[in-house]
Amino acid sequence: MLGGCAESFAALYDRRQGGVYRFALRMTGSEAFAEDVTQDVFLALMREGGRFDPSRGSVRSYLYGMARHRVLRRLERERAHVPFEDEGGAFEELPGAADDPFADLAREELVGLVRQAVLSLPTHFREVIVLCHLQEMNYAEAAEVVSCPVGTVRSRLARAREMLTGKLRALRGPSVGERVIKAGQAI
Amino acid sequence: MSCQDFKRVVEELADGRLMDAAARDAGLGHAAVCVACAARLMEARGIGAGLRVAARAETEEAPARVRESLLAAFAERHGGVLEERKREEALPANVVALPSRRAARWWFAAAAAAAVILLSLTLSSLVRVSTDGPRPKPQELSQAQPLPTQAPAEAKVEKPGILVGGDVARQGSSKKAAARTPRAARSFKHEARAESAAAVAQTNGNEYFPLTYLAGATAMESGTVVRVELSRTALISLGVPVQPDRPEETLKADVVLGDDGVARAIRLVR
Repeated sequence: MLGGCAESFAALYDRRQGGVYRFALRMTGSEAFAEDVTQDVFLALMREGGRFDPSRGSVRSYLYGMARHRVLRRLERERAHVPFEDEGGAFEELPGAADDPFADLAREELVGLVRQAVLSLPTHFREVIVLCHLQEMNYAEAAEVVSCPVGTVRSRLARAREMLTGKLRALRGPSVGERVIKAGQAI
Repeated sequence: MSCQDFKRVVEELADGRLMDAAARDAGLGHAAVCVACAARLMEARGIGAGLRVAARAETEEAPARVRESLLAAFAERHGGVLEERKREEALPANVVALPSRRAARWWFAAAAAAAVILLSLTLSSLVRVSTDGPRPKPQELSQAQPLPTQAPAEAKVEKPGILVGGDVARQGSSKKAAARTPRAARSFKHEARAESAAAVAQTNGNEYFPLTYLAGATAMESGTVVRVELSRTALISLGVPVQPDRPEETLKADVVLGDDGVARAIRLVR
């Protein structure tokens, strides 16, 4: 690819763009930004692909690392300009939250609620949840992406899941959180 | 296992990940007897399952336009390289590929730069001040004599058509220069670069005429001689005695230029 082979570049893009795009999407909740990040990451790969060092990790981790860098920069910028939203307020508009409390949640609703809850986590906890659970990376790969020891990933993940449980429980009352958890158990 | 220890392994237990068998058994044993930890385990299983469902729903991809724009950018970036490689591959083995147009431009630019450097070096060596023999001090030169229109017969010309200002200027101070000590002469080599450009030489019967605006007798370290073509009218206006008939006719002339680009003297080329 670095030698100018367009087919190699296209193959690499086709294989990795989805993960990079979804990582940025889950981290920011913005499709437009995820699109920008994806484009930016592969442009950077085109320009600076020579910097990739296989001894330091896989291409996948390298791409996710670049995406993470851009995402964090964006989140940092937004934090400086947007007032922090009340944690409970983030769930006010969630679909189905006030509907029949006894009906089982549809799969789409469950997915939507989990994504919303993930988005409300602090960045460091959100990224390990996204990488290890939604992108299904193992701890070592996630550690390469976030540039920290595996033990840190593990402890952050445990803490993130605790927070996630709390977020889902707080979802407009404990009953909805219970439903999410029960729906997850039932699936 | 304590409840605190159970908290450390509950995710692994809930997700069914690989873990130490003894820790797994101890954890499950604790959950069997501790209601709170059993509830924690159930909750973790529910969250884990919910995350797995969310992971399976992760199917979004970047829009096709991103791919198109990236491939276009890639082609633009590497297009030149690929074209050249294809061209070379298409040639028979005994044919050497000519450089691409871009490469040819670079070669042309490099050759032009080399030619300019060579030319400037040649010119500077041609007009360099002769350093043989003692010379007058610059102060003496600044008290320069009026510009001679007739150089003495012994005035030295280093190369045809090239004015050697130091030798010319020597004519006015030859007596003092002759009396100069060798040490003074050596020191002069460093300080006497300033030559009076107003002093001009006569070469092969051709006179250099000082240009009229040189009344201030500006000093000149070195200079260059440029051959030009000027009309008779222009030559007359510069003080060169030529016949005023056929005013539009052009004549060749050598102009002495100082380092500052100011013309100091002119002569006709015969």
